[in-house]
Amino acid sequence: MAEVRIEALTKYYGDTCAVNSLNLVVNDGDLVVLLGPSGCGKTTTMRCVAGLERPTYGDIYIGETRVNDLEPRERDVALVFQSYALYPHFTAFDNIAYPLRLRKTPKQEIERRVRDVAELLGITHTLERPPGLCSGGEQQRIALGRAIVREPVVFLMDEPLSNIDALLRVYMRAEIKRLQHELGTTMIYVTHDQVEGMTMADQIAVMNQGTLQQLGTPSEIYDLPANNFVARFVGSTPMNFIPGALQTENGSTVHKSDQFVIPVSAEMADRAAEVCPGGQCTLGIRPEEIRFTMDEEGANQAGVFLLEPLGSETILDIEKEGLLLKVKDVAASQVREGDTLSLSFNRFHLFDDATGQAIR
Amino acid sequence: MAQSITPDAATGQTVTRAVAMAAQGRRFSLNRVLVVVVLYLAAFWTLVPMYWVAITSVKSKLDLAHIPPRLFPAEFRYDAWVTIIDRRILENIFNSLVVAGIATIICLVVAVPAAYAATRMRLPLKFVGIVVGLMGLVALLPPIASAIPLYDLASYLRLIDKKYTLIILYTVLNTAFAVWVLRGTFMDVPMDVEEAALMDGDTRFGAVRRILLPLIFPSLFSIAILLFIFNWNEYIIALFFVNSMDTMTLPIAIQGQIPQHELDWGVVSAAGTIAIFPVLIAAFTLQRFLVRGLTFGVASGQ
Repeated sequence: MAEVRIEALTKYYGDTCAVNSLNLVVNDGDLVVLLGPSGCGKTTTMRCVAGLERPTYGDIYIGETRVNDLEPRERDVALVFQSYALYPHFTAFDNIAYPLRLRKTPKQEIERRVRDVAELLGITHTLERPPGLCSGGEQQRIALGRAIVREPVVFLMDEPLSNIDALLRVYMRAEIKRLQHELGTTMIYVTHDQVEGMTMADQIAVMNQGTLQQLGTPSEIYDLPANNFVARFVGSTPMNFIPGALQTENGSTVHKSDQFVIPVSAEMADRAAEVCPGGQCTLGIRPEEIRFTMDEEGANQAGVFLLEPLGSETILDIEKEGLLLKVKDVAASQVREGDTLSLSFNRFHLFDDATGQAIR
Repeated sequence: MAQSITPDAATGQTVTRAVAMAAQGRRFSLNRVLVVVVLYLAAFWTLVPMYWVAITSVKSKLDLAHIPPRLFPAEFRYDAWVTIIDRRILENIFNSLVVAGIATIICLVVAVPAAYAATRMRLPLKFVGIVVGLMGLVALLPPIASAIPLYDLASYLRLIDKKYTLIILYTVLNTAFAVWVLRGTFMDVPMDVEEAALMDGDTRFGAVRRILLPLIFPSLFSIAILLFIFNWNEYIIALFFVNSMDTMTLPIAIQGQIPQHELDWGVVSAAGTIAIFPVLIAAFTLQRFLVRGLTFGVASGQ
């Protein structure tokens, strides 16, 4: 058990900067998800913590120890690879037993601990088989077992669920979260899947192009995105963006775009005047925060051109003068394609066009 | 590492192939017949000379001179075998075994770490390129090109006519080839698996010994066999560096069976049969390994 502290981590591959002065503290026992698109530096960060890469600059601490110059085996960190990286010439049992054998654990204890872990993960029946004869889900669990069996101080997971089918993934992500809670071990989990991030994390660190965009709990990330990248990346139906500018009309501030005029609260207007004096900003709003009525009067009118029924809900695709909006509606929607709706915008965010930062 | 995860896909393929073959078997297929005919011709083409050498060694002088030549002798005579054993061919065999065997082992001991470093360590790319390029050059150079300067060097160092000189030379000349082939093999083993071993608490050396080498064992084995056969067959270098019975290897000894007058085909053939023998054994018993080992690098994702 230990906290992981990453201070000003920078990693260059030749001239390419993979990670740029990243600061991150993972509290003892927390599950932190590094979330970002491919190539954002999340895997590099994790490999630096694992000891498979040396940082170009910066320090990494596990507990109180600075681990920059330690070999992976001296760090007591377990890593589950995206490919599982099982040893194909060993049986599942030997795969899981390998870290224990290297530590010269007595034979009976190896036997006992491997069986315990296999039971915990429900893979006892695969133990005598080589991994090549196990299903993807079983291989995944063997890889997990190999990480768990030696009780490391930190778990690292490199997109462990991206190679298994969607149904099993939903099951396994709950399983991993449960295991992490049960074992109470610090975990850094790397993924590009924002649903995994949202469902599993105590804290999410959103990364893009080698820099940390935002660190926060899933609800902070979702409800208060720090900039337009985070807003765009998180959310299974993506946030709607309406480019425009702030203007004063009849003494109150509105966000005026080619399509809509949306009233802005007084505090937000004050704040915007401070950080974004030009007023050029994009309004971002989540699909569930757009309300509508079916009357054909009202300020912000737009037409429905497509329905996307998802079973539990329906996504309305609304179009107005080249701008597309997605709006969440109840499952049995009364709305039909071609209807005209009157929209109201509930909770929205403003992003400064110059910096991309949220105004709040 | 999708390759190890899809046994179902693999069996699926095999099943489809088996079904296709069964369907083909029922119908007459010109393609199939042609393939079989060509294969038989190729086998015939390679095996008949070997048979001829072997059978010649047990023919009587009468049969040897018979026209047209007899595919099967009228009587078996073992005179030629007695003669070459009298001429201490067993010592030559022993020399060949020692030289080829030790040179092969040393070569692998050097080539495995070299290939590992060339694929796994983050060396400056240019450096690796240059070294690997030079190695390729050495591997492709005809041995005769280096034989004369090497002879000069060896005679200066008083290393002529020593078994270990041959061992050193064979090692040096084959290492480049071995590194090249091994490099391809190493590149096919995903880094992940070794990194997993490092994460599990192994040292780099341990990861290589316990994970990497067992994984590439078939390739390693076929490379060892190839190297052994190269060394076993080597003629040019040995011709320069060997001149006494103590060091003479089999290829030189075979040539030594050819006198200036009245060539005894039986004796030469007997010696030739001995030389072919280990190669044949290797080819037959190890063909499974050879095919798997040498194609290991060809098809990705197996």
